[in-house]
Amino acid sequence: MNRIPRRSAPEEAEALLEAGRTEPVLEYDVELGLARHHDWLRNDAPLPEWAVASVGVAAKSSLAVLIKGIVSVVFVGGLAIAGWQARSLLQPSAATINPPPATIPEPVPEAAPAPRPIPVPEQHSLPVDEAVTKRRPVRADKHAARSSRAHKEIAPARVETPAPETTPPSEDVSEARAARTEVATPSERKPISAAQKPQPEPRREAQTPDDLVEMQQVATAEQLLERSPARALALVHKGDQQFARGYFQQERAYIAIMALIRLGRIDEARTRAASFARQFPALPYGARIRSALEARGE
Amino acid sequence: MPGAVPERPQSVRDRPSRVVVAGASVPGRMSTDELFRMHAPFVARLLHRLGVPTREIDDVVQQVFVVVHKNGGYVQGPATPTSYLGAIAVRAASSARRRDGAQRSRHAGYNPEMLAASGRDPVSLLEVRSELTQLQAALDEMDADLRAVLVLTELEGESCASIAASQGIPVGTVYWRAHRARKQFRKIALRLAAEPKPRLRPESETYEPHP
Repeated sequence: MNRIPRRSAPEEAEALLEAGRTEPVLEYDVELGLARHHDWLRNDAPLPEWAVASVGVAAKSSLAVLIKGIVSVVFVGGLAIAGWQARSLLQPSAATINPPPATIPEPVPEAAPAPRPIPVPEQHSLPVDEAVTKRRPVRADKHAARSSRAHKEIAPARVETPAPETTPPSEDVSEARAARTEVATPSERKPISAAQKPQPEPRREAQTPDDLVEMQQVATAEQLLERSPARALALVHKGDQQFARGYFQQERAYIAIMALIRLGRIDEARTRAASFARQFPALPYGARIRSALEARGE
Repeated sequence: MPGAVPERPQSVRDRPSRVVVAGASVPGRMSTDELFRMHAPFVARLLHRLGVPTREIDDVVQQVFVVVHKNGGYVQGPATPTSYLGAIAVRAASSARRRDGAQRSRHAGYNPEMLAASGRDPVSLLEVRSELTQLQAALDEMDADLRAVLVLTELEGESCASIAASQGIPVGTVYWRAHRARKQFRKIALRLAAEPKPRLRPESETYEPHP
């Protein structure tokens, strides 16, 4: 059937999500499932393959931890040696790029500077950063990864600092962690060749710094909700002014109501909750707000 | 047409499977049986949303709870029981999808019998079926990480903090993924809405809404 009135992207998405929230899609027979679960346990069902390598289970075995440690050390050592060898191999290969002309019969002594083929001035003509990156790409990448990791660890607390436009540091780290827990594809582990020209990271989506700041602000506010609801509320108010058309309006409204409840401003929280229910009907936060209000007020 | 839609059923999140444990054998800890009784429907629903084929859902639910059993159940912490189960279910779904391969996009996003039992008029039933099919199609097109976060936050109502605790990642990362997931979902939803609607169940459908 035709749905003639076209909706905007947010409206279309919200309509689909609302259907997913409210409509029953699957009926699961709990008693039957539980009986089957007991059967599985009686038959000593093995752990599924995907769970065998999971950290939560495997970490219980100290032997497994030891083996993982040894493998990690060997792997890191191997990478370091490979990187060192790649660097040492780079110099002769660079010399072969511009070999001396065949008409020169005698080789030039090593100690004496080569008269004509001089690749160095090209490097000097580069800007400083690019020259350093070309010379030491492995170290530059490592440094970037280290600094992004450090930045990510403190990301929720640093609200005012706009993050780079391409990919957020937290995403880098999360994906690095995901790569640790899941099976990494070989393409992700390509050793970085010193001869390769460092390429910028592919842009997944064009994100504005504002998006990142808004996200960090909401994350900080939610973290503050437990220990300092007043600060969380202030941060949310600031966010409302700063990002009037942002992506996290619902979260900010939710955090504000929960902060008001924790601060004991129940009447104000009720008023806002009513407005929230009108503005965002059937949103997941609604049930949590209702139960929090019931716990405090009744 | 919207006026003809009767009162929608209670949200799936408000159902008893999300009630906090009362009478757990040890305070702060839930046994596998308790978790199963309270949250197995949540796990099944989540697996379904994450693209596990319907025929495999029961097996994958069992796998999830076997892992829970081997882990000794749930211990109260920053992650809620549902987030804890959700983190395991996401890994299970990932594995099941890999096994299932290319057929995953062909699963229906609804149970027609359940919708029919809701006592709606045929027009609103069709509308809801269309929306659920489109929802599942949009979810199927999303990146796995983003899809999991979107389903957990938007459809199941898990908090970002709880998801972060259960998956061992920073809250900021979960927010970031939620942000990207919404963007991606909106883009896909809009594109799917603009495309001509496929017939809902070509192999078995006898009723044809279009002439």
